[in-house]
Amino acid sequence: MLRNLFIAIFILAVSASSLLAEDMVVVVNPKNGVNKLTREEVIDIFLGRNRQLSTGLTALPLDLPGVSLEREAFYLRLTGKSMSEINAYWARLIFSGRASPPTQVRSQEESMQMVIDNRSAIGYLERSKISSQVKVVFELGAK
Amino acid sequence: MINPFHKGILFGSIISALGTVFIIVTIFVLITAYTTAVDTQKYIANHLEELLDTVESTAGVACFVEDKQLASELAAGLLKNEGIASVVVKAANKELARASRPGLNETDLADNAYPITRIVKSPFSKDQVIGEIEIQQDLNAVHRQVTKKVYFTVSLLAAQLVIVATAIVLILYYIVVRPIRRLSGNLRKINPAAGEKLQLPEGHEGNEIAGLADDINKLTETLVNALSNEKELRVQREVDEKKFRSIFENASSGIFISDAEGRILSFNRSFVKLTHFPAHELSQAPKLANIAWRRRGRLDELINVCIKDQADQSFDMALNVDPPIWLNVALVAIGENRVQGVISDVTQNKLSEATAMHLAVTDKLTGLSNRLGLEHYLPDVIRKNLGAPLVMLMVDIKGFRHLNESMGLPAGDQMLKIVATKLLSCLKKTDWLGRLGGDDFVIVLQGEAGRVIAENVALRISDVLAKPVEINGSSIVSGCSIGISCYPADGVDLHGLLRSAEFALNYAKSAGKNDIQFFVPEMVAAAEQRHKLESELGHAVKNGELRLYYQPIVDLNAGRIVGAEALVRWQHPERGLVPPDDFIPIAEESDLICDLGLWVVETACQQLALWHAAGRNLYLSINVSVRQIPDALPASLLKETIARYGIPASSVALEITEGVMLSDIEKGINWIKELRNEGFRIYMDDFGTGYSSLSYLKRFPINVVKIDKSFIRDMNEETNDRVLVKAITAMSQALGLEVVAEGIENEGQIALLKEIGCRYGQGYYYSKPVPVTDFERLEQRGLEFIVPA
Repeated sequence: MLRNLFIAIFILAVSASSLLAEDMVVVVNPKNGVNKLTREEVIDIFLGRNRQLSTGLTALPLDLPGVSLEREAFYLRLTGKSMSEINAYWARLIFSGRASPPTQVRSQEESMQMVIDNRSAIGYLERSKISSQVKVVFELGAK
Repeated sequence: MINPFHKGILFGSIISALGTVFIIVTIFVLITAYTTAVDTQKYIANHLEELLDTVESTAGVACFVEDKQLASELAAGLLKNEGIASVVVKAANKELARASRPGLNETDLADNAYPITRIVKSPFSKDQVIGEIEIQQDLNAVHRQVTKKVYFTVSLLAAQLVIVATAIVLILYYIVVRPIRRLSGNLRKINPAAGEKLQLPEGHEGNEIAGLADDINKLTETLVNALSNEKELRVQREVDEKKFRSIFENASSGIFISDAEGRILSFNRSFVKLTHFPAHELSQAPKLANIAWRRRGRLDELINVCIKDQADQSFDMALNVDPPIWLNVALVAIGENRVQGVISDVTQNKLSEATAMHLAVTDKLTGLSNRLGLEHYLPDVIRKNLGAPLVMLMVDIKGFRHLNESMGLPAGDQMLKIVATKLLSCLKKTDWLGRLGGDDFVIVLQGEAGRVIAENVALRISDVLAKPVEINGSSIVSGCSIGISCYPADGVDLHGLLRSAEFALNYAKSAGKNDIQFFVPEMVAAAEQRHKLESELGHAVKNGELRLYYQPIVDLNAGRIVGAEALVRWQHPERGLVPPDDFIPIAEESDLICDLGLWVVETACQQLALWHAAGRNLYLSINVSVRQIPDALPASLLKETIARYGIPASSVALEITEGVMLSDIEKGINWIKELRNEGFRIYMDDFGTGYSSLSYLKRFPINVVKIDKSFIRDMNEETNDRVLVKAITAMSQALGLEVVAEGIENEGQIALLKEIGCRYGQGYYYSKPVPVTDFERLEQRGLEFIVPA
């Protein structure tokens, strides 16, 4: 019974995020040189494992505000993990200082702007929020 | 006796218990150690796996970002667990942390190289391996734990087993060992021979110890009994032995034991005495051969036979002394090539035997040999003469039976003695004479005994015996018949010779034959013929083959037939008419004469009845044999017969011969008197022959005398006969008796008879015996045949 309830909640949550953010895309500055990123490359960058890009630049990941639906949708679609899990992950690492979480921005617009401004920056947005000044390197479609 | 402790039940039990405990403990320890070790290892392994499970996610994070510090924290945390010797955390291509338990050196780690490796996967992708954790187990710790557990188990088990073993030993001691020791102690103290019993230790009544005590008591009782029996037997045996020794020594029989070579091993006093054992030979190795046997070596032979065949031997042997001593020696084989002999003096037996033998073969009356003597003599002489010819003569005294009957047995015996002496006088020394019984004398001639010599001897005997003999003052004239058989022609053994001689003798005895007869095979046939006739005659009476013929008896003065003599004839179906001489003697010898006589009486009476009915006043005279008198033809029967036919007794005359007088005279006289009383008439037949004695005529109450035809035949010429006939007639008339002359053949005789005064006659002149029809015709014709005087 409990298990069925969890499954129901999970489906609801996924559906909600899907509804809220139909398509999420990872974008970079067109001058960055990177045209395409794999899911693994995206995970390594955002979860602090490896931020060295193929062009030699060190990527600067940008994170949307902690409680935003977009952020939750992004990580869920990218890693299959909930927000609390991602937070717990970072909690363990922060203590040792070996890896650091992405830079926090306040909104999608700010993230957009920082990508436009910074060649190393890399952010994630709803598809409807992007402009031609950024380059999409990875897409996370609604499921 | 007290057993050394190390051989006792208790020691054995302790050793066995301890050994068992040791083995069981060892097995349990091994099992416990093994299972404990296995369990502990499994437990530790599971424990480590669980530990790894708890650190898995942290390890995933540490490896994902290759965070050494986090990894070190992780390693240090794991190492706090006992059982973990070292921890290594590795990222994909580099080591993030390494930690090991302090105090363990490198070699320990290498020796205990049992690493547990857990693959670390990416927290974000279950398919992506990003590192691993390697844990080295601390096997020493495992061992320590196992050892501790095993120690505990072993201690517990050992304690239990020691307690159990001790308990068993104690129980064993009190229940088994101590009672056995006490029983053993009691057993040493008792004296079974005095009847003492083994005491049972207290508290063991009814159990196996009690059973053991009982068994011991029974066994001792049995043994004591057996011993006392044995003792009694030994005493008895000694007594017996003395007794037997005494019997042996004092036995009247001689007893000895000898070996196969005749060496005497043991002997008694009687042995020496009986065998006349030479005294000087007794001292050194006496032998049976030292005895003065008549036949030396014979005893040795018999001893060998006895030992070889294991068969008892008994035989008589004579000692070479005078007078001879006979010893019976009985040998019994007693094994080991030895014999036991018993010797007894049988000299008396031998003498008695010889005497008895002599008596057995001797005829007491005459002192001659008897039949048994002949049975011994003849085969012997045949054997000795190697089949040379022999002659056997069988002599029979004529009229001996009549002599015996008329003058008594002593007279007969005297006659036999005289005959024996006479016979001996006719014989040579080499001839053998014996009496087989009755008046049967047998003579055996040996040497050159041919037919001629035999005949000469027979003739001599015949002459000698024909001479009158004086017995009891009477002069007796007898005579003899002799049958002769020759060996080997007429018989090859005693039986054959006797049989042939008897045939010849019987032939000689039969009427009208020579008194001396040599055997010829035809005699056998004749005898057989006779025998056959005898059996046929028996049937003849029943089958009605007999006929009555009638010879007229004529009144010489009147020339008239007054009656007839009834004579029996045999109409044999094959042979025709058999003459009376051929079958009457046969009938006389058997009882047939009685049946035949009855038939004659019956038939004659029947005939008389017919004649009387026809008005013919005739009478019939019937011949009566001596054998019929008195019982086969009693007066009562005759009386009944004439009554049946209704004829008067006076018409029946009974003709007897002088033989009647020679048999039992009293019976004969009584018979005649009885018949006379009934009115029957008695004729004396054949008067003048045989033992005629005038005194008989006085004693026998007869009616008529028939003068024998031999007197009549020659009375024409012979004056003597004529005188005799005249005398008989005169005497008869004087005694009031009628006279009938027999055998009248011519008129001259009739005239003479009439002159003498003889009134009746019969003979061929008138008629031979004829069948009834012819007789009736004669009778009717009257005096036609009769020429008047």
